[in-house]
Amino acid sequence: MPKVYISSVGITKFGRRKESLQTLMYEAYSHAVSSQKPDFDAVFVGCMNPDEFVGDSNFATLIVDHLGLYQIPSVRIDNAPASGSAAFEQAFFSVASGHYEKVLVLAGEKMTNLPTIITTRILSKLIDKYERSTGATMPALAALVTRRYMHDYGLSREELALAAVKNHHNGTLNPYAQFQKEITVEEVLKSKIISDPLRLYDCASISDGACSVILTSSKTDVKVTGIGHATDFLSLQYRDSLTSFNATKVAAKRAYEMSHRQPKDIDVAEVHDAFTILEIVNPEDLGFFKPGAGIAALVDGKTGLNGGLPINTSGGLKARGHPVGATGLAQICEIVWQLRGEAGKRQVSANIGLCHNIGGFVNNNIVTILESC
Amino acid sequence: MQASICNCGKIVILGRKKCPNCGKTMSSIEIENDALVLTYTTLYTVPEGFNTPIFLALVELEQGAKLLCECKNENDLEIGRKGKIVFENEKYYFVGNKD
Repeated sequence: MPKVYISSVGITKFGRRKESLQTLMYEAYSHAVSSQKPDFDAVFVGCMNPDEFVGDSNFATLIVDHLGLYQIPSVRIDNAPASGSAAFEQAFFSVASGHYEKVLVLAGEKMTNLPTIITTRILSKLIDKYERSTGATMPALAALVTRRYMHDYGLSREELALAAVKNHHNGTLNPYAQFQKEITVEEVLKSKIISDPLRLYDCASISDGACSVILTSSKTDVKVTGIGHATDFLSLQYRDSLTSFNATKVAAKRAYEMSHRQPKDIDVAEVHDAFTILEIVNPEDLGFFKPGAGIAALVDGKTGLNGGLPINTSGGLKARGHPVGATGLAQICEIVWQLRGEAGKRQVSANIGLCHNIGGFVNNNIVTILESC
Repeated sequence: MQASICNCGKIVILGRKKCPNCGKTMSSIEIENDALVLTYTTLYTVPEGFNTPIFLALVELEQGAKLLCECKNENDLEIGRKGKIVFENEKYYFVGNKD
């Protein structure tokens, strides 16, 4: 099987952007392709819902037309908020199969153009139809998990707030982050209540942004060594555990097996912190810490920039912003920069990095392992 | 209340034909409406068409079947609270037992 490498990456600043989605994707593409010939065998576009967010369908054709990539095969992949990593995954397999030698992955979403109540309605469609008939939203499901985790493991509200504080600090060091401002525990605890015990600063933001990655069978300095993907029941009420997610555990196991790595080998990770509780639960499910030990890892700074296992050096979804379809590929960009020593003021020492992207309410998850070579 | 159970051991509330765990045909069974609150939230930022706030509870019934439902009384929102599921106005509600 041919080995698969990353030759370059590009990203736009995330946040409230006035440009169209295709313009944002072009901006990300320009950063990645600057010194290369655009001789791609195929284009994979990760985007969750351009139909509802920007009113365009057939987006795979629209984007190659916009980029001037005439006649190149293009496909759009919707995998809920794991669309970016799913596009990356399919692009990876297309090169690993030997069928293609060089492919372009684009991912993005534009969400801020709609009123929040409409965006909330679109995002709530990710939830099982019965569960959303109760009024449950994504933050409500996260709040249910948070409450149970606090009960089982003694997590305090103040400790939970540290996840947002840490990721906002990292965001101040990332010029592409939506939020580049420190916040305090007090500010988190005073922010608007969304779904008790979760407040506004516990939730990733609605955002616009795009990313691009070029995958190739020609050797570069970053190799894709593992990809694991797993699903779980759509309904939260079908699941056995409310404080741990099988889709993460199984996806991680598959990625570790493929790369012949273990959790202890990982130097840096980007995990899907759509809600602060996930900044604690995800590292546990990825095998970095035992159940309940994610609290101490956060509180003691182990997952901070100077800790033993820096997590979400980019600022994560919380501070970088969460344009849903873009997020998975933004994680890949951050890990590539960390492995290449191009992460600027947030640089950590790393040879092996992991990305963890969630689709739906933690039921379609992808774990990717990248290594320096 | 009605639940669906599979030979693989999976039990889910609300009727469904195929098991989400193994794909085999599920059997319909009646279970008691006794319920225990596993977790809860009060939702303030509600979707279009809902009144604020919504009291939501995820409860456990017989054989480990779980149900997400609304709760009529905020005072019933407590992990470990025992009560019953009632069906009114096309919706399931958790109502805590009187102490």
